Order: sequence, then structure tokens, then C-alpha cells
Amino acid sequence: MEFRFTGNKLTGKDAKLQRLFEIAPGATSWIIIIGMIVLAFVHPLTAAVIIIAFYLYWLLRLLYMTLFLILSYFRLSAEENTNWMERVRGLDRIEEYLDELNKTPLEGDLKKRISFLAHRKEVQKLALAGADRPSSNDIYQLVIIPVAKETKDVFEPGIKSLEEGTFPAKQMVVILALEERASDQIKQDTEETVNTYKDKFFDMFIVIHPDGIIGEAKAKGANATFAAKKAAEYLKEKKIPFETVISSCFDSDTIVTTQYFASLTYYFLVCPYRQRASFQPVPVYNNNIWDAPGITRVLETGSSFFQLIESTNPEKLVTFSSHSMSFKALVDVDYWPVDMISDDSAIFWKSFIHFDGKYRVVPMYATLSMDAVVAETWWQTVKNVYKQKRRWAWGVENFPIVMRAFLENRKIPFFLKVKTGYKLFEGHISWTTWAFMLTIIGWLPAIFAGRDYSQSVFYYSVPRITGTIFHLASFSLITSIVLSLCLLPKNKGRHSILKRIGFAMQWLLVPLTIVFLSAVPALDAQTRLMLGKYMTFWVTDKVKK
Amino acid sequence: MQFFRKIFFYIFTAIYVITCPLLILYAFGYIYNPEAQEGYSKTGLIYLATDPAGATIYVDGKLNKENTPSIVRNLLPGEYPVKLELEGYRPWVQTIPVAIGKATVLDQVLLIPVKWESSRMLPGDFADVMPLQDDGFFLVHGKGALEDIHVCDYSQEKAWSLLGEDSPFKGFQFVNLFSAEDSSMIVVQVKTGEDIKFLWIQIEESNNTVKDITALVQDKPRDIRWSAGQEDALFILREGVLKKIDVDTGAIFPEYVTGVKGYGLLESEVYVLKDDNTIVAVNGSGKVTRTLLDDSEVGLSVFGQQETFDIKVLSQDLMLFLGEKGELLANRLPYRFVAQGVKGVSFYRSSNQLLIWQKNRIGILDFSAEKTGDVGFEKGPKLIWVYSNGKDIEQCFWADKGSHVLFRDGAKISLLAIESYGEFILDEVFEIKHKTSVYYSDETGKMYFLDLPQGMLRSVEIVPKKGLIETPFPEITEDKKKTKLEELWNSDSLETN
Repeated sequence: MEFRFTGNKLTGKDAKLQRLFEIAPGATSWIIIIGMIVLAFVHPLTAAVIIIAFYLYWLLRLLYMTLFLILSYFRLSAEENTNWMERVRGLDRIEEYLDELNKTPLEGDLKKRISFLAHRKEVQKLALAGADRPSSNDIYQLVIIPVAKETKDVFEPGIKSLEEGTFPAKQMVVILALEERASDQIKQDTEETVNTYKDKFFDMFIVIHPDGIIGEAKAKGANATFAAKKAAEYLKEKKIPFETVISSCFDSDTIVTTQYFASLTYYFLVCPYRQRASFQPVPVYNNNIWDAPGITRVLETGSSFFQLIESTNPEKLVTFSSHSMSFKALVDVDYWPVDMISDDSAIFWKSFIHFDGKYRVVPMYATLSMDAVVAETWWQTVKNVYKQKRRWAWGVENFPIVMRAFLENRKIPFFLKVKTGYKLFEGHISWTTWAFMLTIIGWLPAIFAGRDYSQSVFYYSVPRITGTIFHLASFSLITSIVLSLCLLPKNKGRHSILKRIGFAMQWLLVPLTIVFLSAVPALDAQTRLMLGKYMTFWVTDKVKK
Repeated sequence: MQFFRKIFFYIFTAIYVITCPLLILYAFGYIYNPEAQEGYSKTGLIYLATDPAGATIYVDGKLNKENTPSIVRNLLPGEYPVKLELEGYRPWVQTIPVAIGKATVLDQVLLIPVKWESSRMLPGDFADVMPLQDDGFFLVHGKGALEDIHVCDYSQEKAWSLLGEDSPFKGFQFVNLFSAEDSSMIVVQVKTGEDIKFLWIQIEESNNTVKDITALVQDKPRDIRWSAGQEDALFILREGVLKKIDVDTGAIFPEYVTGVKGYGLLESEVYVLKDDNTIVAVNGSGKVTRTLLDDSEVGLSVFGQQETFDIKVLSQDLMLFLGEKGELLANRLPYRFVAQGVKGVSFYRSSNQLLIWQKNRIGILDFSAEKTGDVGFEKGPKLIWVYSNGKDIEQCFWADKGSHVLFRDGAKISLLAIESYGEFILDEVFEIKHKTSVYYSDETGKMYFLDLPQGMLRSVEIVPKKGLIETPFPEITEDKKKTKLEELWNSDSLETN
């Protein structure tokens, strides 16, 4: 469906609908929070009943997510030592390769066996489908790295990691998408970097995104789109078909593992609907994790966990942060939105609507690493984390546009619209309200208890029930602690066991961080959208220590 | 993975759909009961917390799994004999009512030790303990000389002499002590031969400031009063004239207010009952700022013609009037609460309750809520006599956050539990040196007294302060409980005084 994926410059019914859907998430969150506070004051018993029901729901959902976090982590670690390039080359001679796989005895530890079985199943499916697919030698990786304020020490390690991968660098086109307003020093940095690495890749060049293009916001999406359009011209000129190009738009601090592009190529090739899919790795924030303060680590690890859990449910997976997609699909949907801040999730929704719901995200069991938020001082780090989370939560700007599109689109099945719309809405509402319910509102009925309630059996039962619920929930916390330690980079031995214990202890900060650096910034974002005070893009300061 | 996810989604959904209503019903007190006609019963519970914690609980003769503090759940409605046992303490036994869906709360059961253990505080023997109204110090005095008086800071467990080493007032004999609530300043009347002096003393740790204010006081007043935080402004009532003294500047206002039948202080305001039976509030410069009662006829019917009153201003809108004969009046209906014989009162601000004692009985007057009569007439606060078998009650203290009354009847110290579902429970503590006072602080939970027969200053822990286990519930305030006392307040019977 042709749909203008924007919330700007709308008129008539569209403008009214847009405003209504902009108000809905913030209003709902505030109604829930204030409503529960008022209810706890006016009728604490009813509030306590709702809180018990909510706590149980939260516990089950937490355990459910923890279960899939474990499974997903297990699946991720099963692919830790996979030679993806070997698999990619195998796909080029699929019949013979499948024969080899069928003859290969199942051996090694459980992880190896799972990895092997999953791979064999994928190859079998691909061989059965028999559809046309490009040879791995024809695949090109287009990597767009937007640069605005980032210095060379931020983006150069990422470029170096591209070159060092097992996927041939000579099949990679790297674009540094540079903002015109960037400082001279940064411009010079990019030029120097291009000169150093240009020969290593198929090609590498700078695309300068002019300031003040009409209709654009000061957003990463506008810069990336401008660079992608230039890339399209370049690929046409080089006669490289878009269908064989996988585009990746990376945050400038993204560092890939040596196997990343090989695994991306594999997932792309085995995906039967590769031109209607995005490919989502698991982002980890390991670049500077040893230098990051506890609050940052908890939140960033939480984001990685969320992505791990979501990866077990591709039907509902949405793109997040650095990810990849077919360049053809990117061109078909007319690139990233140029007037939105949440470009990483907006591109998924734009594609989902453009292809009438026939677009999905393929989870990759591969990681790529970025910088955790670290500023010069602890307090500045907290402020930056707050702003970063608010920017992430600004993803709520997609909701009104998606809802309008759903109302217009007759081709997307009704049930899919309801399911998808609910998931998008509920995700944002739970982001803002759950932390308040768990840490503050849950106590209010007991505090506001009058005689009737404080003399009831219910009043004395609540602490026992909530105590049991929180005890059971601690299983999830312990799991998170263990997995967060497992996700830490295999370091160079300079970090002591004490530091690792400190990393485990940081999880005790969760009650504070989920309120002040997760729920509050999310509520801030939703309230701004509700009031029509739209956000502009803010580049997260990340300092290399 | 997606397949697993779906399976688990349905499993978790089923768990929630089944568990949630069951959990909520359980929280309301419903239990499975095959003997009941419906197959289930709604129950009540008893919450028990003791000082000290850790007592074994027997309900209906059955041992409870947990010691105090604990909740005994799943009790069908009825009356349950409850026994609490802790080694070294007397067993506590009471019959507790349990109602459907209700919690019977006994969160301040004070266990009485089999043997009270006291410890000596100061070397030497003393003649008497002199409680101050300040919550921080009390005085003990020896043979009568001023230098034999010691200030005891009970929270820090320190003591020092009232006079410094080089004090010129050494050798003076102690005559009288004046103190004010929440003030660490005292005025002491002393004499040497025929020479009478008044000393203004600011009690400070180890170093009291002493000023001779005899020239300002001029005569021999029965009472000297001041407000906490306004220690420089002293008031003396004599023959219907209220005099104000500014200790700081030495200024005297001999006729600050005239025609005075009684007065009370609240911060910088003076509340005056005039001889025409009107009541006014006077500010620091002697000007009337408010008239609180302007109807002389009503005033006459309440206060009478001749009598004088000591006014205790408990808050901006609550005043007590203590008459010469021990009458107790208040500015709340029915105004006159006790006709005569009140020896003292103590107000517990948290619960808005007034402890009153006469020679032979102790009562509690509850100002916490307005109680209205059945046909809409205001009934006012009700006085409940909680103990009537005294012989010579001299001192009473609120103890254990208002749940108990500690009192001295002659030389006998007793503890009365007023947070009770049955009869009020009386426990005798022990005897002290005859004709001496005691001091009790709820902050330390200790009583300070002179022992038998020597008169050594000792302290005994009445309310244990160590080893208290924090309960998971917010503290229950008195107005949330329905105890025996509450029952009596809510009953329609009117008591004559």
C-alpha cells in the first residue's frame, strides 16, 4: 500500500486521527498511574485486588520471558563458534552440501548438535523450496555509518572490524554518511579514514548530507536516507542488482564480530522471503562496558536481554538499533523516514505497511557491539542515559502513524492489525506504568488504609502474597545476573573477580533504574507526544575512556 | 522456538486464569472446607506482635508454626483462647474474637518479665527523682543541697551536677522546681537561711547556664511558666494579675494581663480565662488577638464564680481547664468531664487521647473523633475509667506507644495494658523507695526510680527496645483498632463522674 509514513503536514481527517493517536498512549499511561493512586486513596481494597492481579501477571510474564531469555541465550551461545562463511559457501552448492550434512554424524556437545540440527533443517528447507537465490559471490554488503558529532576514535574501530571479518571485504561498500554541519575536525577524520580503508573494500566513500533539506528533521534517518539514495545511484552505475545487496545502517560506534557479515549473508540466503525481511542481530554494549557505571550497564544489558527474548518470537519482532535489510526492500519503501527520530523501528513499520503486513524481522543469533553511554562525569552519564532512553521511548511516535495506516489499509488482515497494534500500544504503556506499579503504587493501599481495610484479612494477606511473588521473581533476577556475566566480553584478564562481583551487584539497582531511567523518560516521551511537544534528535554523547 | 513459545504462552495463560481468582479469594480469607455446606468458608485471622518478639503462640491450644510477630490465619469466626509464652516472661493469656474476613490485631503485646532486671545508674543514694516535662532529662537530688542535684540525660545515659564546680550557689537548699513541657530550661527556688533565690537554669550537656532572676521574680510565686522555645519570657500569676518577665533584657511587665482567673501558653500566645469568664488569646506584646469565648453567661455556667483554673493548651482548638479542686473541663462538649479530684493529666498527641488520674482511678479521654449521638446531638468525647482500684495514685505515664499505662500507686509501680480485647490487664512491676517519684521515658522504654531500701538510682526496661522485629505492615494507628477501649467509647452508656 502506498502510504505517506509521516505525522507531519497532515490535513483534515488525517491530522485529527494523528492527533488522537498521539494523545492515546500518554493519556492511557497517566490515567493508569493517577487512577491507581486515586483508587488506592479512595478505595484501597479495590486497588489492592488490582495490584495482586497485576503482580501475578507480571510474575508469570517475567518467568515466561526469563525462560525464553535462557533458551535464546543458549541458542546464541550455540552459534558462538560457528563458521558462517563455510556454511555460506556450502549454500552455493546446496545439493552436494545437503548430502554432506546428511552424512555428517551428530557429534560434539549439546550446543554443537543444536547448531548443526538447526542448520541442516534450514538447508533442507532451502533445497526443497528450490527458489532462485544469488550466489554468495554476488552478494554485496552495503554499510552506511551516519556520522554527526562522533570522532574518529568512535567510528574507526567499527570500520576496522568490517575489514577484519570473514566475509570478503571486497564485496563490501562502506559509506560514511557525514552531516554537513559536522565540525572540520570530524570531516578531516572521515577523509583520513576513507583514505586508509578505501582499498580494503569494494569501495568506500563519504556522502555529505546537506543541512536544511525541506521536509527533513535533524534526524539520523534523514542522513542515512540521503546516503542510501546516493548508494542506489552508485550501485546502478556499477550494475549491481539491488536484490543482491544487503544494506546495514549502523550506529557509528558499532563493532561487528569477524563472523557477523558471514552470518548475515547466511540468514539472508536461507530466508525464503529475503526481499521482505529485516535481519536483527542481538546488540550488546560491550565496547566500553568495563568503563561504564552500574546504572548504564544494567540498562544496556536489559536492552540486550529484551532483544534476546524478542528474538524468540519473530512474528512480533521489530527492528531495533543497528540492523540490516534487503537494499531492494529499502528502495521499494522509499528508504528511512526523514522526519522521524526513531528511524530504526520506523523503517520496520514503514516496510510492514508498504508490503501490506507481509514483512517480518528475522532474528540473527549473532551479536554486534556498541558503546554504552559514558560521559565525563557520573551525573552527566545519568543525564545522557535519561535522554537516550527518552529517545528510544520516542518510538511511540510510530503508533499514531501505524494506526492511521491500519485504518486505511484493507489488505492487512484485521486480526493481524489488532494483534500488531495491541503489541505496539501495550509495549509502550507497560514501559511507563509497570515500574510505577511495582515500586510505588503497590505500597499505596497499605499506606492509605483506613479502618475497614486495615482490619481486613486481605490487608494482612497482601504482604504474604507479594512477598512470595517477589521471591519467585528473584529467580529471574538471578538468571539476569548470571547471563549478564556470561555476555561480558571475554576480556584480557585485567578485570578482577571483584569487578565481576560488582557487575553482579549492580542488578540491585534495578528498582531505581527502572523507575528513573526507564519509566520516567518513557513517560516524558509519551507526555511530549500527547501535548504535541515533539522531540528533536539528540546524539548520545559517548566518551572513549 | 516459536512453537515452544506458543505452547508456553497457553500454559502461562492457563496458570494465570486459574491462579489469579484463587489467589484473590485466598487473600479475602476464603478456604476450602469440606465440612461446610458450600464446601468453602470465609475466615478471619489474628495478628500478634510482642515486645520482645519471639513468643510461642498457642491458639485454641494448638501450637502456631511461627513465633511472634505472626499471623494466625484461616480461623473460622468465633472466640479463641490465645496464649503467648516466652522464656523469662509471664505467660500472656486472653480470649480473642475472630470475625469473618476481619483481622484481630494485637500488635503491641508487652510481655512482662518473671523478674524485672534493673541496673544502677549513679553511685550514691538519693532522696527523690524529680521528673521534668522535657523529654530528655530528669533530676535526682540527694540531701537537699543544690549541689547534690544531678541532671540525668537518660538517652545518652549521662549525669552531671546541676551546679558547676565554682558556682556561687553552692550550699543553697533546694525548695521548689518549675519546668515546662519540651523545654530544657528550669527555674529552681532555693534558700539559704532566710535568703530566697530563684535561679533560671538552661540545662546543657555537662555545662548548665545559671542566671539569678530573684530580682525579676520579686515575690514567692506558686507557679512560674513559659513556653518551649520562649524560655526568656516567664509568666507569674498572682491575685488575678499576670506578670511577664523578660529574662534576657531584665524587663518586667507587672500588669501584662489583669483580671485573670487562669492562663495557659501555646508558643508565643497566652490563653487567658478572664474574671468575667471570657477567654482571649493574647500575643507577645500583651494585645488581645482573638476572643475564644465571649459569652460571659456560658462561661459562668462552665467555670463558676470564684474558682481559678490552670489552662493546658493542647492545640489551637483544644484546651483543658484544671480547677483548684481537681475539676477537669475542656472546650468540648459536655465541657465538664471530672467534677473533682484530678491529680494529673498526660496528653498522647499521636492518638489524641488524654490520660487522667485521680487518687484511686485512671481514665482515658479520647479526643480523636467527634462522636455524635443517635439523634444528631453532639455527644463529645467520652471518658472511660480503665482502672479503679488504686489507693494513692501519684504518677501516670503513657507507655509502649500508647498501648499501656505505667503508674505509681504509693510506692507500687504497675503496668496496665489498655490495648486489649478482653478486660484491661494489670501487672504489678515492683515497689520503689517510699515517698519518691519515678520517671518513665517511652523513648528508651525505661523507668528511672530509687530502689528499696537504700534509694539508689536505678533504671528498668519496661518496654524492650532491642530485638524488635520490623513487621511488614505500616504501623497501625489507634484509630484503626477496635479494642475493648474502643468498644466502650462506642457504647451508648453514659458514665457519671
